[in-house]
Amino acid sequence: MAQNRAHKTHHFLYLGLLFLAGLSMAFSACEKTPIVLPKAVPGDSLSQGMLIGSEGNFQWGNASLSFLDKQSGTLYEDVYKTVNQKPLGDVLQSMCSWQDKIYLVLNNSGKIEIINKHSFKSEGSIVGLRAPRYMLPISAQTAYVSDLYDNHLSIVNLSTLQVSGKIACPGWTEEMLSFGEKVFVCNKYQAYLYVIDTKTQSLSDSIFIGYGAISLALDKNNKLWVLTTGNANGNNKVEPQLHCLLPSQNSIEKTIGLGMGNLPLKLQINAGKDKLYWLVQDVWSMDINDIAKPATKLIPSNGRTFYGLGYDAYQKQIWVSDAKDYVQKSELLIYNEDGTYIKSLRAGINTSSFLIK
Amino acid sequence: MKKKQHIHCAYGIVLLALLWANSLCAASLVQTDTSKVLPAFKVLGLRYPSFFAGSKFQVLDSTILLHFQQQSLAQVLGSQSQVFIKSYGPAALATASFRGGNANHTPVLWNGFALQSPLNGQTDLALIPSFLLENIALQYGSPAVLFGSGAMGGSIHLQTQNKLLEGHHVKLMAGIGSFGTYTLGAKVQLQFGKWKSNFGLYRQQGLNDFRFHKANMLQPGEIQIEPEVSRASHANFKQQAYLQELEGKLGKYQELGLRLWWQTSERNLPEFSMASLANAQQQDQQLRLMADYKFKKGKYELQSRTGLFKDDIKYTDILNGLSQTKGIQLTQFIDQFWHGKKFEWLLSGMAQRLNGEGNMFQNGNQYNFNQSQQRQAIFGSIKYQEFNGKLQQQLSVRSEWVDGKVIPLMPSFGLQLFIHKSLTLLGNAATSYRLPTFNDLYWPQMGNPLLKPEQGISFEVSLKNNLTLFKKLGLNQTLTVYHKEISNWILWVPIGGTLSKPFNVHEVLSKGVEWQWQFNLPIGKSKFLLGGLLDLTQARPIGSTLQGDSSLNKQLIFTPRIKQQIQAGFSRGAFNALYTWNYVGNRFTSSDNQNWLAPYQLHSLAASYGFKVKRHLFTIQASLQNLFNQTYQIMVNRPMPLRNFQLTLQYQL
Repeated sequence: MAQNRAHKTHHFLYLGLLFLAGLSMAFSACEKTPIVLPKAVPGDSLSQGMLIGSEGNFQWGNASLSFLDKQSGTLYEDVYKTVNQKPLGDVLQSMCSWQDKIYLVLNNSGKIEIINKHSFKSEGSIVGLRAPRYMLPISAQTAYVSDLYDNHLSIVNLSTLQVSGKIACPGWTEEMLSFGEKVFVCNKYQAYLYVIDTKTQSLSDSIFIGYGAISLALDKNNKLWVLTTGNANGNNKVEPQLHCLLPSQNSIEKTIGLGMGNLPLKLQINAGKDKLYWLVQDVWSMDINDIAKPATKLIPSNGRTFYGLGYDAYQKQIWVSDAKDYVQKSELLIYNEDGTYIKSLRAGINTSSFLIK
Repeated sequence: MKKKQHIHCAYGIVLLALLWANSLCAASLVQTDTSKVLPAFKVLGLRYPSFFAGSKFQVLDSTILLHFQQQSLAQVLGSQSQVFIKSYGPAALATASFRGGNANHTPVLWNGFALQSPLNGQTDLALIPSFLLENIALQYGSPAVLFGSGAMGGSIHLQTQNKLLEGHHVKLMAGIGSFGTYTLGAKVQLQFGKWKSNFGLYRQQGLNDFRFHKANMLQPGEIQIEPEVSRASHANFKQQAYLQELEGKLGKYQELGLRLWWQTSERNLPEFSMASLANAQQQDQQLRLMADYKFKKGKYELQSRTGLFKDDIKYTDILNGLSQTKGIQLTQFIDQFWHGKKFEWLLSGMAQRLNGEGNMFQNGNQYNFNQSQQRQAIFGSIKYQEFNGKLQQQLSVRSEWVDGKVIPLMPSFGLQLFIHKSLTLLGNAATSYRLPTFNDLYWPQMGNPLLKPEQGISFEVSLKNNLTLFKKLGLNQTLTVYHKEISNWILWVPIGGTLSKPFNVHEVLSKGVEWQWQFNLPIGKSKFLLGGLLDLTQARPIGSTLQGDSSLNKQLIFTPRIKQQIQAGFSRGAFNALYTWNYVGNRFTSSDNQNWLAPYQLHSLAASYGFKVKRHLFTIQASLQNLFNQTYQIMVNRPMPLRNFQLTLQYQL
C-alpha cells in the first residue's frame, strides 16, 4: 500500500516537473523583436537635403520615403508614414518636385501620392492610373504620367487631380523630358524615342534609337542624351547605346555603343551639365564631349549590387544604392564626382530614386 | 525495486533534457501536434524510412485525416504538424518549411519518388488533396543519403494506399464549405485473389470569395485593420485528381505494382495590393506514372522502381500573355536489401533524366529554354543491431554524378538505443546537399549555370518517452535538439533594373528544439486526448558573400522562431471531436530583421459522428476554422480567411 502511494507520488512529481519544464520552455520562448524608437519628424522644412525613395518589395506595400537633412546631417526615415500615420504604398518608382509639392509615383498602387514639400503632409493623391512609372509636370495645370501597362501617357490635371486625357503610346513608357513645347518619351520595348507636342497633346514624331530608351538627360548645350538598353535577345540583337540628340531637330548627333550584353540604367548628369553617369553593375561616367565609351569604370561595385543612382547637384556628390539581397535596408554610398568615397548610410528597402529638395 | 530505479532514472533523463533544452532556446520555437510519433518500422508502406535508424518520424494517420477530407495537404500540415506552411491564401500556392529550411529543402515523396518540379524545385501542397492520402509521414532531418538532392530540412512521405486493407471497399465523400466550395470524392478498393486495385477520384471547386479584413500588418508600427469586411475576388478555382494503383503477387516471391496519379487545377490568382489588375490565371497539370517490382526470398530482397513524372504549369496575365513551363523526370531505382539477424544492408542505384522546358514572356521578349540533366547515384547502408535490437547503428553513404560531375561523397550515421522500455534515444549525424534547380541555372537572362550545390551537415538527438501514469494515463513525448549548417546557400540578388540572379551567398546555421507530447486517458467508453507541439527555431546566416550584409546573424525571413500547438480530443463510440490551437510567432520580412509580421493564433474545432445502417457506414464530419475570426497574414499582404466551415458526408462500404 505504502509502495503504491510512493508510486503515485512519483507520478505526480514527474507530471509536476514536466509541467514546470514545459511552462518554463514556453516562457523562455517569448520573442524579442528589435526595439523601434519613435521616428523623428523633420522640423522645418525649409531645410535642404536629399529625398530618398525606396521601392520596397513588390506587393508588400512597404515603399518608403526618407529624407537626409543637408544642414544637420540627420536622416529621417520613412517620413511619409511618420508624418501621415499611414503607409505610403506599393513600389515607389519615382519622385518629382513641382512648385511646393512632391509627387510620389507608386507603381503597383496605381496612384501618385502628393505631399507638401515642407511639411511632408499628404495633400491628396492622383488615382485612376494603371501602373504609373514617371510623372512630368509641363505647366501649372498639366502633367504627363508614363505607364508600364497602359499603352498611353496619362494627362493629369494638377488642380483637380484627375486624369483629363490620354495620349496613345503603345508599350512600356518610361522617363520623359520636357524641352520647349516638346516632351520626349522613352519606351522600353520600342525602337523609337517618342516626341509629344504639348500644344496639341499628341504624338508628333518618333526618333529611331536602336532599342529600349529608358533614361534621359539634358546637357549644358541643350542637347538631349538618351540611354538605351538595347536588345540582347532574339534574331535582331541591338547594342545598348548612348545617343546625343539635337532636340530642336529631333535628330541624332552622335551615338556611343555601350557593349552588347550590358544593361545600362539610370542616366544622371552633373551640376555643370557636362558629365554623364550611369549604371552597368558599376558606375560609369563620361564627358559630354567624349566620342567613345569610357575605358574604365568610375566606381567599381566590388561585389555590391548597385540598384539606384542619383546626383546631388548642391553638394556635387554621386549617390549609389546597394540593394543587397532585396529584403534588407539598402546601403547608400556617397561619392565625390571623381569617384572618391565619402560615406554611407542605410535607408529603406530597394532604394532606387533620389530627389533634391 | 531495481526496475523502479530504472524508471526514475528515465524520468530524470527526460526532465534534465527538457531543462537543458529550455536553457538553449532563447529564441527557438515551440510547436505541438496531436499526431502520433510512431517507430519508423510502423510507417506502413514507406520505403527507405523503415530502414533508417536514428530518424525522427511523425505520422498523421487516417484518424487525423478524417477531419481534413475536403482540405489540402497544406492545410493538414499547417494545422497538425511542426512544419511551417508558407501559404499565400486559400487555394493559393503553399510550400513547406522544416527547421528553418525553405521549400527547396523539403522533398515531398510518393513511394520514394520526389514530386518536386525540376524547374522550381518546389511542390505546391495546396494542390495535393488529403482525401487521396491514407498516411502522411514526416521525416525530420537530412536523410539525403537515401533521398538525394534537397532533403535538407526534412521530407514528407505520402501514402495513397492502405496496405493492410483486404477485400472490397468503397468510400464516397461529398462536402460543402464556406465561400462556395463543393467537393466530391470516391475511393474504391477491389481485391481479386492476389491482385488489388485502388482507385481514387477527387473533384473540388470553389468561388473562393473568402471574407477578410484589409489590413496593414507589417511591423513595426500599429496594425491597421479596416473594420468593414472585404471579399476576395478573382480567386475561384477548380481541381480534379485521379488515382489508380494496381498491385499483385506474381507467385510466391514476386510482387508487381503499377500506379498512376493525374491531377489538374485551374486557379484565378487574386491581387490584394494592386490597383492595376493583371487578371492572372494559373493552370497546373501533373501526371505521375510508376511501376515497381519486388522479389523477396529469405533474407534477400530486390526492388526495381521506375517513375515518369510530368509537370505542366501555364500562367497567363494580361501583360505577358501565356508563359508555360514543363518538367519531366524519368527515374529508375534498383534496391537490394539483405535482412540479416544482426546485420542488414542496402545497396541501391539510381539513374535519372530531368528535362525542363520554358516558354515565357519577360521584359517584352519571348524566351524559350529547353534543358536536360542526367543524374546517377549509388548509395549503400549497413545497419547493425546488438542486444536484441536494443542498440541499432547505421552507416550510410551516397555518391552522385550530375552530368558527369561528381558530388562530394555523402556519409551519414544513425543510432537508436532503447535505454528502457519507456525511453529511447535516437540520433543521427548526416550530410546533405541540394542541386540548383533548372530555374536557378537556366532562367532566361538571369540563371547562373556556375552555381554550386548547397551542402549541409546536421546533428540531432531525440529522446522518446512512452509511459503510463496512474495506471491509465498514457504519455508519449519526444524531445529533439538539432544543429544544422548549410553552406553555399543559394540566394537571388539584384543585378540591375528588374533583373536578378542566383548566387551561392550564405552559410546558414539552424538550431532548435522540438517537443511533442500527448496524454491519452480512457475513462469508461470515452477517450480523452491532450497533446502539444512546441518548436523553437533559430536559423541565421553566419557567413555571406555580400558586402556589408545586415542579414548576418539575423533570423531568416519567413521563418518563425516559435511555433506551438495544443490540441484536445474526445472520442466516445463513433463520436470524435478535436479542438486545435495553433500559435505562430513573428516572421521577419526583412533579412536585417527590421520588419516583421505579427504572431497569430488560430483555433479550430472539428467533430465527426459515424452511424451504421446495416453494412453501410455513414460519417458526418464538420469543422470550423479560425473560430475567433482572427485577421492574420502568413505572407505579406496575402489575407487569410475569417471564420469558415466545412461539412462533409462520407459513406463507406
